[in-house]
Amino acid sequence: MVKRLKTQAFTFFHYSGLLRELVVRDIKVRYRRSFLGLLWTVLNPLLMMAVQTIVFSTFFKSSIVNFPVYLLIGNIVFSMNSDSTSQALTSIIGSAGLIKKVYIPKYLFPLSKVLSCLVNFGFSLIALIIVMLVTKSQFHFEMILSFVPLFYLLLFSIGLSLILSSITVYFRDIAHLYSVFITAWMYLTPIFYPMDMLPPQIQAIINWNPMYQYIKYFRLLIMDGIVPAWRTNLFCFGLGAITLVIGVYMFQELQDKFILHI
Amino acid sequence: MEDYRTKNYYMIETLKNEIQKFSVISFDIDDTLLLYDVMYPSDVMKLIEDYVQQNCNIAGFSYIYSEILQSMRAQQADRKDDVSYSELYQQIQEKLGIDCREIAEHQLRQVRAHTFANPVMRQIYDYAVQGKKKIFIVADSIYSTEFLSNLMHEKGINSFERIYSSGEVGLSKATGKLYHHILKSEQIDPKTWLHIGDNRQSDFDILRHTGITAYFYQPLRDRYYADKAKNEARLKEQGQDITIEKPEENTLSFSMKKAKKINDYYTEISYPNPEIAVHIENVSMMFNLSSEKVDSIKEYIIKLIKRQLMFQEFWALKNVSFDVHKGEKVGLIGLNGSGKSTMLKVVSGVLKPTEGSVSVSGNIAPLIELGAGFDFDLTAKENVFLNGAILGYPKREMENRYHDIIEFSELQEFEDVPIKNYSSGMVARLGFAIATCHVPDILIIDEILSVGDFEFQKKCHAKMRELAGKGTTVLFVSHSAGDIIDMCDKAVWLEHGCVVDMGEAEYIVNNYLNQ
Repeated sequence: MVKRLKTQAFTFFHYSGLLRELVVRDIKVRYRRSFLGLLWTVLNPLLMMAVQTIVFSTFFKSSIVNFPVYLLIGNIVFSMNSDSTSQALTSIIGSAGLIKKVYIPKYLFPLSKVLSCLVNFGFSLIALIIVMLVTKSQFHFEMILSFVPLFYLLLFSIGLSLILSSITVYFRDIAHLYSVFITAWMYLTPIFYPMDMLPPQIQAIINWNPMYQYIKYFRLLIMDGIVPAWRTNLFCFGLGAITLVIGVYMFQELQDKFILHI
Repeated sequence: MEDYRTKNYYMIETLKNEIQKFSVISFDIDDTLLLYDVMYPSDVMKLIEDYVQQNCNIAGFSYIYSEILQSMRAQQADRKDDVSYSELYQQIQEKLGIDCREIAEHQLRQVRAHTFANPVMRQIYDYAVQGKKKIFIVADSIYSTEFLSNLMHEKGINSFERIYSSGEVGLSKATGKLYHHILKSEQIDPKTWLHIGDNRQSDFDILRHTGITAYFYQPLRDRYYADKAKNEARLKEQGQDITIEKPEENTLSFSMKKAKKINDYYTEISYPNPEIAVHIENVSMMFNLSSEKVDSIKEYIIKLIKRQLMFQEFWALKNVSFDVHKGEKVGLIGLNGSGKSTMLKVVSGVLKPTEGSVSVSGNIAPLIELGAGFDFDLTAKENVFLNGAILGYPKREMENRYHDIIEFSELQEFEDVPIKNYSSGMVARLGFAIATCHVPDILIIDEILSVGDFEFQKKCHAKMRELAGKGTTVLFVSHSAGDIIDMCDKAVWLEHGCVVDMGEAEYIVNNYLNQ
């Protein structure tokens, strides 16, 4: 067992260069040939935020303080997860040509997608800071602790990506189903509306929505300067860790047969 | 294969393996079981000539000797191929009008003095003896069976069943009649007979349609000249002068000196590195050939309910085992669909075997399909680093080699162009250059040499030979028999996923082609 972990770690180290190349490729290809290039990673969330603020702020203005920041945090945290999982979903099928010809640890493909979305997330934070400056919001020292929920979210996203990418090899329908699922998930997450406008029964359900918990964590840190209680931490971490363990296990079990189905 | 010397190990291993499959083993004598300590067997005639000159005062004896021999052979009665020693000397005696008994005796003495048992062939012979095989010695020779038998015993070669000499039987190997004669008189099934000899025509080609299996043992002096020619070609390519060896005054002692050098060098056995690079044990690979691929949930559930999820099993590989030593070059041959490419994929880790295990020590560079990891939106420069990373090469090394890669693939002017704008030849060139820029421990090559134009193919061949020369272990799949013989020490012949035979490349490839 220890020996297996050791060889696993060694392979991971050996291929870390490839992981980086894959992430860099993703980012390069996404913005290649666009005039503003990498600037889009910042502009995109800003513009989205602007549109949504204009549309939604009239509905929810009264109940939410600093709507643009509230919305932007919800948006970038949610899309970190939704982008990475939906890109990871097709990552194995999409790399069929490579997997059939060269031996590469297959988990690198979904992992690289999550990491490139993480880089994107980093750029979006710049947008967030810009918005906070423009709206003259208060900067809390606790904001620095954002890496904690980010870590929990990363566990969750990687786990979910591993699960989705491996099942999709067997059932291509998942790809279509998942985009519908993501839309539903987005509406069930208080991104642009406040939680307390929902009836209490629904609130109880949404409390179990992992994305709501992660977003809430970020909002507490950034907007209110509150470090969440250990219960929230345990919930967020536990959810991420369990998803990751299930993901790793499923991927391990299924990966040897990938090549026969892609 | 670079050096004909390394053949000995593979030859011994192959023949030991083959001998087990046969019950009758036959050997040729000259240059196979026995070696001469002079360059050519005809050099012995020079000694006889000197002897005749001294004792009978007749010059040019060797000329007379061969003249008479040739004319006698030509005059043979219909059903006879060869002349016997006594008949020959009778004729010589009549022609010259002197008593030739002494000369004939002297010639036999000289033959005995100038021959010795071939130590390499000796190992094979002894192995056949140990295996209690029926051993025949079959030679196109004018000498009598009695003389040859004594000669063999004198050189320590015993336990053979019988000697067949063309001179005595009157039938020769060159016409194939001697083999038919033995088959008939000894009641042998040709399928159980393995013949080992050094004459490409009479020991090898003639047996092609007889059902007898033949092993061609390349004469040592031919190996020497082949190596020499290769060497000279290489020197010429490098623009160096070739020095021609000049014979010394006494040609016989020169011939003996040179023969000793060649005999010593080419009977040396060089063993491969005992470390094993690839160990393949009982590998089987099964695929499900479902008539339709089920990849949607609806289909899956419907078929599950209807119990139609039945698959047709297809075994691409069945119980394949072999080892590849470090630095060995192994070729896989077989028809399309025999499992060669599947084997390479199992070794490179792309496929996991259904049964059995593969263990590999060292890093592998697969040249399975060039440019498999290219992203067509990226430029050549970006792709070099991406593809290098896919092959597991360290980034620093890729930075150092970057210029060599671009230069080798002749893409200097296009390095910043996205490769979707490249021609397929350019892509292949880049792919080959990247894959071969690093010296891997194990190189896997699957018929990629058919890319690019003729000039580039030549460059690829040279590059692969260079890599092979650096001690890299090579696994090679090709349909070109010539390439396999040229590049590999050892060949594995696959058919329907099973190993038919393996061993020395040339022998296995020839058997494959003659099947």
